[in-house]
Amino acid sequence: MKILIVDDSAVMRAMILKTMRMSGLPIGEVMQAANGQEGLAQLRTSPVDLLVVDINMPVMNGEEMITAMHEDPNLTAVPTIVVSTEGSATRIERLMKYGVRFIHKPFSPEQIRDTVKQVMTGRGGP
Amino acid sequence: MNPDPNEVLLQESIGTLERLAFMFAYPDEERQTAGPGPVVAACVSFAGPVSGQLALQMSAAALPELTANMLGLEPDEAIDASQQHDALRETVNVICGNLLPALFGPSSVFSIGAPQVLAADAPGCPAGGTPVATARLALDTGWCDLQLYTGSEVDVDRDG
Repeated sequence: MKILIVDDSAVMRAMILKTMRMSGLPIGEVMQAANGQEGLAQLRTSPVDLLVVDINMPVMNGEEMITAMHEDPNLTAVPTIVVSTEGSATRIERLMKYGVRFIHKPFSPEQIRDTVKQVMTGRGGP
Repeated sequence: MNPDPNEVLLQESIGTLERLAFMFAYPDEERQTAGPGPVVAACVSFAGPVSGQLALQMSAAALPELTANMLGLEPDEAIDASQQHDALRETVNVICGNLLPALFGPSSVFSIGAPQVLAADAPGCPAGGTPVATARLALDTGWCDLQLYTGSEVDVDRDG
């Protein structure tokens, strides 16, 4: 499984990746980006099986990135998990309308594993 | 009766340190000022129904453990200053992200700014004022304090 992790914290990107590996998920090539703009550029040149993205980031935040993806026919179907400190039910519901799943920081390996499985089996959204 | 903001800050801080960095923290009710030794500090601003800042100070001795635990490093693996600052920023960011809905309710929408590590000689975060909530924690390898600053007294959401 080829994944892209987008988070402005290198430590958090490493945590997410380590947790995914601990979860027993079949992680293959891993790409990383520090904001939504970098992430979009990578998605447009190198398709992935799974996107993991934070919300609060400089330059382009995760909500802007997901919105941009849904305006691009080539990117609308990318399975996406938002991993964030976001606590607003209003914003979470808004994002979930795009079919993304949400994991709240801090997260457990079990949450990561279960959510990835849901997204990859097409149970990612309403 | 609404919950005490100090208690909410205490519990969210303890829970986040445990789940994010596998660090066990305990209320340090006896201590009235910053703990001993060199200090590292970070703060994060937020805006929404209530605006303010969350400040975190931690004994410098505890920061390598925090960072190593977050990264899942072995004891003999090197950690650089950049990783430690990143871990400190992410810690105050995650505590803030969990604290705000706990205090103000899940329907409140906040914009959380970029967390910043403060220089050792910085005036602090924020420059002045009295915190509306404070948490003092003891760690196995040091201590950790948090202060919540807002423009007004915190009226905790009953269902938060």
